[in-house]
Amino acid sequence: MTALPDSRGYFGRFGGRFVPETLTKTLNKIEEAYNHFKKDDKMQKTLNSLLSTYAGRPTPLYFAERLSEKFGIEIYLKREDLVHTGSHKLNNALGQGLLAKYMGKSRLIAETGAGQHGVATATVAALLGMECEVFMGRTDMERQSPNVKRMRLLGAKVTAVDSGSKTLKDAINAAMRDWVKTCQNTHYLIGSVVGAHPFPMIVRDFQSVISKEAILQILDAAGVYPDYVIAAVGGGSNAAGIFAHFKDIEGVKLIGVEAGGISPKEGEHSAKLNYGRPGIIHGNHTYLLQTKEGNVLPVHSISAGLDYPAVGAEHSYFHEKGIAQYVTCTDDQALSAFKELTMTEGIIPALESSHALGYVIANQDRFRGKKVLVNLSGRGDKDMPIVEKEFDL
Amino acid sequence: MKNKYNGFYLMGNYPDRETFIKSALEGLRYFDFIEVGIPFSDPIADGEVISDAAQFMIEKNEGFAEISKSIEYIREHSDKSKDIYLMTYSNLIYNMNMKDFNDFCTGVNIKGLILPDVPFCEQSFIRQLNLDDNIALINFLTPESTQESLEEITSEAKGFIYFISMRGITGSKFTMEDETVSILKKATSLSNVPVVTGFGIKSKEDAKMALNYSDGFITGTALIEALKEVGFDSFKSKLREFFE
Repeated sequence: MTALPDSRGYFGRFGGRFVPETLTKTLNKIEEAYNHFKKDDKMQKTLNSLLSTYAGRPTPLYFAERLSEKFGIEIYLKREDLVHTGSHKLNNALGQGLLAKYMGKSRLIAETGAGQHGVATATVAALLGMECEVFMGRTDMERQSPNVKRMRLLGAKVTAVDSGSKTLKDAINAAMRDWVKTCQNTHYLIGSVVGAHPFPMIVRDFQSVISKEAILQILDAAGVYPDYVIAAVGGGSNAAGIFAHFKDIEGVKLIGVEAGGISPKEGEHSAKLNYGRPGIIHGNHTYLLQTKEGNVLPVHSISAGLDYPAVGAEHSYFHEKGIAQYVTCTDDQALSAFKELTMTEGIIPALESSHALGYVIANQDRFRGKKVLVNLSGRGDKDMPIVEKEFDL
Repeated sequence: MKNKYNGFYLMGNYPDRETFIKSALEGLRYFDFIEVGIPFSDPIADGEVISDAAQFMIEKNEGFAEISKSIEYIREHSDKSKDIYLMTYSNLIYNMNMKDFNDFCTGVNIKGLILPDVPFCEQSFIRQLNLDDNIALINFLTPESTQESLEEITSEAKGFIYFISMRGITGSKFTMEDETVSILKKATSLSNVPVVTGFGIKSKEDAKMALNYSDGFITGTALIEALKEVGFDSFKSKLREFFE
């Protein structure tokens, strides 16, 4: 595991704590509490027990035999789609939920794009008996309506965000505005490795359980480490989780797949590491899609969970240091991978995860004969409204 | 006892260049300083009124290039003892051509930058962008400030200290809890520069309460609301209200 971030919350030149002064005390307290939480045997026991008996961990590592045969690539899937609530998001939500309780907070707030993190947070709030409010862009509420209903069913208040592009970045703005007012009793359960320090570190640590398991499972299944570890990158939490334990292993190449959308034209993708440049947004110095002046650009992806103009600071660091390679997968490539996995293996993946697989299939020559581990970060049920339209079901 | 140091906020060139310049000059007859807002797409410290004004300006495609020209005009036509500050978010400063920006600030004597997403612990990051040393980075104190940060911030502050009256965003309802008053009292006694209270101050009563405990007040949302709903005349009467 990495020794970064440093004590000021930086991964090299990326990261930091660019938030209103009002929140600095709260961030310090979270960092302090998290350091205790990590060493508190009782809390760790509770977390591990919930991860196994409630969330369903360890998740299997599945060798996709038919898919592998079809493309001449050895494809292994880390089945985060089988985590309770349908994605890797619960790993972090459980950890932070317990941390919030440990700090004596009574209310959780969260932002959500695809709704997976919102559902995970609402679930944890129900489990721990906490109040919960989830901020979600109006556009995302429309395209991910099944998840909105699930959150409400779980007792969370879902607040529509009508400012800006009405998507994930605006949901984060709304959550930040709430938190500045309510930080005394509320924990902002950030869903990705984004935001101000210590969030990128905390979320990565809670998600690193993915690679902690996968590293042993792949040795069992394949007898060796994989040639490639591949994950989709929106904010970057599932990628951070699966990269964490593989990044120091020689010979394992890490690939993060960004949403290439319709084209590399401004506003038609959300691939910040490929087409953006560093900036300061949502609490950290990181790669960002922005105008010449520094205003945030509109972004697009068929997948609401990847539709975010910035990325976790650690990924910006990995990108500049060459620790991981960041590539793109278009909407169409993701959709065809979605269909491929469904038809060939009987697994309906989330559109986010379809980007990781989509890159492999679209670039199959590069991977021929190689062992590829793909993080299947979520299941696709929530994408039915989009897929119905695309495939004319 | 420090002299009173009161300020007002206007979004640059809002709702249009002419009204902005007229309003700024009128305001500077009463106030000691103006904060000129440069619109940013994701203003997390601002409430709906100022966020909407920023969005309006971005849609009009007017930013720092246009606003800086208006500031030059305001500097030329206002009393030299009045101060001008820029209020925006860190990413716009990060993206500036620093030489041009420093030249502009020096030329019109910009006293400082008010960057609500840059807390004290990140000021060195902004300084390292080669910002001219004569341009102050305004520090904030809040109801959440600890004794340690009070001491650190008051000892290093330049220009003035922006005291955020409450946990919240611009345009919220003004309140001053007892605990906040006690932090404010400590701040004014420790600080060599004026400690000025802002966030939520919309009426003469609010301003009076702020002045009881601090060296000045800042108002913004109420003025933008007046400009948005009626225009310059309404702005003018709102302004007078504070000083009658």
